[in-house]
Amino acid sequence: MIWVYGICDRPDLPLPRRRGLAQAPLDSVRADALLAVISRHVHPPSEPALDSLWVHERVVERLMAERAVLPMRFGSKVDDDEALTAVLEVRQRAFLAALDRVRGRVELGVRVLRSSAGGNGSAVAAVPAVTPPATGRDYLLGKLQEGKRVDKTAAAIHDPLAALAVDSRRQPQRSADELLRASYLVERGGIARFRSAVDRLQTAHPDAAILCTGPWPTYSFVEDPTRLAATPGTPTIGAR
Amino acid sequence: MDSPADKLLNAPLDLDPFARDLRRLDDALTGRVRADPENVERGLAQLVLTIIELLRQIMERQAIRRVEAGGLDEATVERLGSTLMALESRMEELKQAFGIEDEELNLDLGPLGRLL
Repeated sequence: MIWVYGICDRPDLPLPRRRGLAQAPLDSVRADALLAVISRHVHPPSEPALDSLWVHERVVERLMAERAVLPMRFGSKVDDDEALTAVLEVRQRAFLAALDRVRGRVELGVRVLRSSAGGNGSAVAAVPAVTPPATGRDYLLGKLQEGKRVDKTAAAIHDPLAALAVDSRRQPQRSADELLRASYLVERGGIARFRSAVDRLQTAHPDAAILCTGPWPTYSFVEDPTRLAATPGTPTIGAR
Repeated sequence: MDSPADKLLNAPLDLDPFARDLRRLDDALTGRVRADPENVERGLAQLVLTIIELLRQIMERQAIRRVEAGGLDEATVERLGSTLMALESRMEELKQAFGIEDEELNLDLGPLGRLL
C-alpha cells in the first residue's frame, strides 16, 4: 500500500531526508516531469491521530521548501506503483497546470468569530444579547437584519483580504457566532502584507475576533484527486 | 515535537472560542456511537434534536427569504414568526433538559461534510 504526500515538479531533485508516517522512509514514483512523494506500508495508519496529521503535514511542507507541490489530503493512498504511475500519466496535463497555479504560493486560513469584548477578542458571545422580540414579525425581521449584519461584516473582512490574494475560497459558516471561514492563496512573499492587513482589520472590527493561520500547503486550491475521477475509468488516488 | 503554535499568524488573546473546533475534530477522530445503557437516551435525544434543528433552520431560512422577497401579508408574517420563535424557545428547553450544547447538534456526514 502506498501513502501519497504530494505530487511535485522537479523530479531531478533528491528527496528530503525525512521520515514519513510510522517512521517509513520517503520514496517516490516518477512519471515524466511529475514526481509523487510516497511512503510504503503494509498496514497504513487508518486513524487520523493528531501526530500522524502533523507528520503528513511536515513532509508536504518540507517538499514545498524547494518545489511546487500539489498537497494530497491526509489519507490519500493507492494500491501499488502501477496504479500511481497510471494516475500521474493520465492526469499529467492537469497536474502540471495545477502546479503552475500553486508554485511559489501558500494558503492562509482566516476564521472570524463574533466577539462581545472590544478590541482584544477576549470573549466571544454565542448569541448577541438582545431583548426577546415582542412579536413574530419582530422575530423574523430581527433574524433578517442579523443575517445582513453578518454578511456585511464578513464582506468587510473578506473583500480586502481577497484583494491581496491570487485566489480565495469561502467555506460555509459552521456556527451562529462564526462570521467568516475562508482560505486565501497568497504569494509566499506576500504573507507579511496579508498579516498587516489582518491586523488593520482586527483594529477596525473590535466586535470580531480574527484568527489567521498558515502558511499551509495549498490544500484548498488543489482539486480533490478523488473528484478528478469524474470520467469513468480514470485512475485516481483514493482519499480516506 | 512539531507544534501547531507556529501556524498562528494573527490571533486574538483568547483562543478558546476557536478551539471548539478541536473538540469537534477530536470527536470526529475518536467518533464512536455511545450506545451503552447510560448514554443511549442522551445519544438518541442528540440525534433527534439534530434532525429537528435542521428542519427548524431550513424553515426559518425559507421564512426569512420570503419576508425579504415581500409579498406576504402581515398576518402570515406574524404567524410564521411566532411559530418559529416558539419552536426556537422549545428547542432551547429541550437542549437544557438533555444537557446538549449547540455544537453537539450536528452530524458528520463524512465526505458530504457536516449537516448543520
